[in-house]
Amino acid sequence: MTGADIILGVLAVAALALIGVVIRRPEAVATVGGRVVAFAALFVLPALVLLGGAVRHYEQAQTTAFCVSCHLLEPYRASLHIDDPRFLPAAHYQNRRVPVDRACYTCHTNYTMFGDVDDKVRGVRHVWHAVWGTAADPIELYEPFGNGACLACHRGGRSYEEQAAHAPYLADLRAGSRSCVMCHNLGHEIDQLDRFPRWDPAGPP
Amino acid sequence: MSLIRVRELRRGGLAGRLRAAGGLIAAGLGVELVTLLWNHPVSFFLFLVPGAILVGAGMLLYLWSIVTRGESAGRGA
Repeated sequence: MTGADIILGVLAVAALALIGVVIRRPEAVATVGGRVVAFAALFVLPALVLLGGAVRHYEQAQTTAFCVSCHLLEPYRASLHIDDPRFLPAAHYQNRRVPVDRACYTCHTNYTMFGDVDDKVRGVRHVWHAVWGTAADPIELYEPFGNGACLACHRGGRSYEEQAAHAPYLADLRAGSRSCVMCHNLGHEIDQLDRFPRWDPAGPP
Repeated sequence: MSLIRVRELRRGGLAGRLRAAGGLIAAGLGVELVTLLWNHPVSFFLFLVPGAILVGAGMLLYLWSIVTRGESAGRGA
């Protein structure tokens, strides 16, 4: 629990206490003091809790722990520990090429102006399907994996721009007419997890 | 003067609307408090539905009550 959580909790409890006063004595709003209390209890404090809670959930929803807490994603969490550098997610995760605490989000967000909002809408859709059991088995991306997530980090990087194998395709990769995963095609491969050894980090996952 | 205002509040239904708004917001805040303690996709969902909807509905009811207060009291008088 962070300091922000404690502040939000205190604001919520304060709002509940003041709401209790308003519910018990609504006639108090006949006075100026009563109106101020009612405004704080029924507007200002709930708005602050709503806004702070939204920000808190928004940030929390970007963490790896949040994503893999859904049981449908357990095999995908396990795939990050495949002990084979050919596997793209595992290599990125194990070598800290993506922030470990935001591994899923870093590669699966949409790097556009409203990409974060799109992610949250998709996230709610994920939960809806998970709760009602209508998710595909195995789960699938709603649309093909775009190059934007790769290029957000690799574009301009020497190992990407000067790689001889990339040279003929750089324009196509930028335009999106050729996908990075056409060649880098070992992803999570959850149906083959048992075939590969696992990396067992000494530290936390 | 204050007694007259209190009577106006009761007659205009403002007291009932404030209670209803308070109830909605309290229920929403309760849900949101629980979701703050739980790092899980379902808690994100619960924060939005019903948490944010209850709090938002309560706030709107409160605002509507105070905006239409004079109107309601006038009708009642």
